[in-house]
Amino acid sequence: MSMKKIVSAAMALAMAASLTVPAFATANNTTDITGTTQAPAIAVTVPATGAVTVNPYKMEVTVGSNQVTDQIISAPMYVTNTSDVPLVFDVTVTGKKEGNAIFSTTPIGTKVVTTNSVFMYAEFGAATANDGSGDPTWAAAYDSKATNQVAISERSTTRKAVVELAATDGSTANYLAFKLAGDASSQPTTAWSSADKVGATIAFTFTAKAAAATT
Amino acid sequence: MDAQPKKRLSPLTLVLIIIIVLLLAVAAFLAVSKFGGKEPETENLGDASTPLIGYEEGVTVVDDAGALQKAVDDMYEKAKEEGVPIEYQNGASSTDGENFSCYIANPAKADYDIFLTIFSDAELTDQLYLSKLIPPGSAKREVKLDRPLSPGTHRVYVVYTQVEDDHATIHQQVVVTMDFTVTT
Repeated sequence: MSMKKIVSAAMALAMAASLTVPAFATANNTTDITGTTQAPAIAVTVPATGAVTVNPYKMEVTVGSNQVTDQIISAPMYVTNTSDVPLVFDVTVTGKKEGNAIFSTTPIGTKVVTTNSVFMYAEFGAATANDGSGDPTWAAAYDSKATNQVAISERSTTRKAVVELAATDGSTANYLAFKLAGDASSQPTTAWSSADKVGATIAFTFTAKAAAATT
Repeated sequence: MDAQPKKRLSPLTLVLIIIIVLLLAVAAFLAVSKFGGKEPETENLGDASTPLIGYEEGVTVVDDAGALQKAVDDMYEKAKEEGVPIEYQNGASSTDGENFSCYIANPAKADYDIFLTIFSDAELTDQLYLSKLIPPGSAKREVKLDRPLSPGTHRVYVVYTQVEDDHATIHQQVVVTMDFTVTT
């Protein structure tokens, strides 16, 4: 075989081999990336029931070490947060009524109201403990502009971002505190009776929030 | 001329006159004692800090401060009760609107089995799903709704209901929201 033929054959082989190289390179250089999104798990303990007492005639009652004559008396309740991400709390509040009780859309104050009307609102705040020692400073009255208060009616009302809580390490907790307040008619045409009741259902929405970058 | 004799009252007439006088005297006495010679007292209608209490026949106005105090004390005690521990991701996804991937757990630290009910409305009238019992330490990772949801994101209301050991008595319930997203 002449040298020319050998060289030609070699070159042909080289060309053939070179044509296959890209194919091998393509298979070896492809990387499939499968994406997954890790959504945080929200871990909270939510109080199931609370109670509210309507005291329309402003009778004096002892609460802790105080004597109060509030017309709406409610013990603070707490949502315990042990999530490892910061949380933003939205709430949807729906009022319930029984008997002759009806919801007023505005505080009754000193108005003479002859129906068995109750004005009630829910207030929310961050707390450092769930035993009353770390409660937020509760407002003295309802403020329609407050971002952490919701006036209650039979129609569901949603308030977004009433409170934000920081992430926990799982072994410690922080708290969302909430309570009900308001006033009631003390001069109804039909006297108040134990059959006249008001209450509310509170649905919580917990949304994870990105933690602030540390510098 | 002789003077005519004076006309004398018969005994019956005399008795009648005495009775009438006595009745008038009693009436006068009663009238005086009612008013006491003073002007009638006026009601204070303008002072809202002093509630006017409307009395209804047969109904006693609630004036039992003791019952009110007990109700308040019981309320504060009840507020100390342990709530319902829950653990979940607040988003669920589906491609057909019916079968959703999710994570809704009954945490291991819980003391009761739970079941889940999912509603489309805050008034909890339109039920989408009802689960079987979920023991502590278990989770639902898929739910199949009773009816499909349309494409988009739907805010749903998830009721966690704890049941007692007899599996018939409800212990406690709480409501949280989730966003169910349907992508096609």
